[in-house]
Amino acid sequence: MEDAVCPFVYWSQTKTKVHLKIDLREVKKPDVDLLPEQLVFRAEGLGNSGNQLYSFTLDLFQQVIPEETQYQVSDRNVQVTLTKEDEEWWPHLTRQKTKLPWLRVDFDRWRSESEDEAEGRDVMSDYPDVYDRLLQEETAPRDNRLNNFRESYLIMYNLWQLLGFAVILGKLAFRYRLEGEDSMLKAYDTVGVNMKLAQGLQVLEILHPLFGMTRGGVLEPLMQVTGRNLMLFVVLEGEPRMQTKPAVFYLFVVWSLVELVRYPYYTLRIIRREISFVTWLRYTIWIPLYPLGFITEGVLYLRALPYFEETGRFSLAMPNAANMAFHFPTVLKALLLCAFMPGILVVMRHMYRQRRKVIGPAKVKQH
Amino acid sequence: MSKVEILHAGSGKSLFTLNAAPSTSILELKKQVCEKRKGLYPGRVDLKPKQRGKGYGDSDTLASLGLHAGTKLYLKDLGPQIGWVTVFLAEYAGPLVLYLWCFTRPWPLYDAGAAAKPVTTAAKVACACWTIHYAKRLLETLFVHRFSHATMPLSNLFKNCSYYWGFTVFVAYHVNHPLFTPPARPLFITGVVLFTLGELGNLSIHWALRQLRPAGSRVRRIPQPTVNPFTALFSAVSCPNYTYEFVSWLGFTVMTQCLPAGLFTAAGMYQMTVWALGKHRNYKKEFPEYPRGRKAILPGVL
Repeated sequence: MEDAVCPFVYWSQTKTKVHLKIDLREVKKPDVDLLPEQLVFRAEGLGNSGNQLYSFTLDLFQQVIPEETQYQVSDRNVQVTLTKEDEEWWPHLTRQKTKLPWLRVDFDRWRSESEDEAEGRDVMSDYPDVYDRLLQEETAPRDNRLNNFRESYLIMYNLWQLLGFAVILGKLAFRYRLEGEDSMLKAYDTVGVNMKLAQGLQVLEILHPLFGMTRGGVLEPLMQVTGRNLMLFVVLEGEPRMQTKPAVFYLFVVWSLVELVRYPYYTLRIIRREISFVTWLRYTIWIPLYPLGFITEGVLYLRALPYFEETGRFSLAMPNAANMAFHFPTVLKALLLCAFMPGILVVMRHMYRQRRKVIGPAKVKQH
Repeated sequence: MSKVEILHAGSGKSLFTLNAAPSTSILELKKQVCEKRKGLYPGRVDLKPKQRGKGYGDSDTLASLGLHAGTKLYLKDLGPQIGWVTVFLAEYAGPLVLYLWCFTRPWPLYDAGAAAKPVTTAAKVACACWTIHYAKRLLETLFVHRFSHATMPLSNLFKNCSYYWGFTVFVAYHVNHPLFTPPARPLFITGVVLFTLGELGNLSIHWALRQLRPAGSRVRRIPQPTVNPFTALFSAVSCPNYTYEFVSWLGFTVMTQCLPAGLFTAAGMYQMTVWALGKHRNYKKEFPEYPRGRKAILPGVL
């Protein structure tokens, strides 16, 4: 009877007790099994994945007294109260400090605890740091005012970029309607400036994680921005004959479609809301678009090589004062082999892993 | 006999228990681990008190570490290991051979007829300097250095060799190029002098460090200047060997006036600075009486 899913669980604590609020409705009889250091919960109910069997196991930070466990089933959730063996503050619920995606801190309960607590003490005044630290770890960094500024700035950045790419797609679509296939040779002319502005600004997305304004690594935005800007500002801008290739049209469309999903998703994340369709798009649209983008970029790079051999642009010949030679087409070929080709694999594997984490593996239907 | 519980460092899960006495050494525990887990050998096993952090040394015993019955140790597989000396020899033999090969202006790198064209004195001297530098490194690895570790992860071999061999070809290609233009004589002489001072200084420091540590021991002492005037730099920095190394490569860059050589110097300096800062921090932590005025790598600066 496997294939159970974890429900959302919200936890809070007092000096003597641990409270769990399990987000499941229409639960008839839950199985709540307690060992001194482990809680196993199983129940059929209505939760975030529909009506099915849910279960989770928690290795608790410290021992509890199994006999004194209580639970209460209500219309909206199941509440479990555990009694701690030692009256000590737990820095986290589980023995290991691992982040479980379905386990959250129950801030509402934590806050109201201090008001109607039978023990008559303000829990927060005893351990204000712990509360703040948990809040920090749950949501985003820093002091509130700075945090508000950070969030406002990021929302504005994301919306501005979204607008930019929407305009690009709009202009391309509009011109296509007017001139048909001919317009595909003029994509650079139509939206080149817009694209350079939007892509140029994307350099900020490397600085955001670098300065701790967003979570996530610096490497992924660095790779995407460097790759795209190499194509746009060096290869396309550096050779006018490349700008009238129809592949540029496809390239701009693919880039814009990806961004049209990415920026709304980020904005929703910042305001801590989720529209499941946007999340699904974010973690699915890469499947057709990344390979398309990869092929289009590959085609453009390969077509550009002979032009750069001919013009010698971006190349430096010896003799010169720095005693260094730089043959751009050779370097480009080396980059294609060593960075571009492995890069697409890395990026797609990364997105696949993200997708599994967020959307979950393909569900097997339970009979 | 007491029980030692072994947990997996990555997941924290309990794996198995071992029997041990207070006099059991970490190495013996590691051998027991290897019996339970085929494919492991003691060199790639790390046993540590916390999930993250450093492992215990092989020669320590449970008693000497103050560990009692029922203690828990975390097990980490360090991956396939390769000898430290092996890696160094591969790293340095490559640049030695590759530069000399580039000096002959071979066909994969240059046009036909390039080999016949004249070679500047500067290019010849640069080749001699490069060769001396790496020959010296190879000899030091074999006869001078006393290493603290026996092995390192195998992946380091590929990483390090790529760095050294790649930069060798990058620099050698340009210095040995038929269209290479040497710097003016005064600059060239300055470069050669700097290089020589750097090499002599670097060798002096390595020799002094060897004298500091008796054969077969892993003892650590504060380095101090000796009779050799080059070792006076110890009074100013924790890692004068890196300082002199930088001077050598600065000299090489000046004598060739070659940007790739400059980039190689910068890259090396960056890495050595990172190492020097770490060593400096360790010295200060280990020796409370560590001299205050000393910097890590650049006298008076860093």
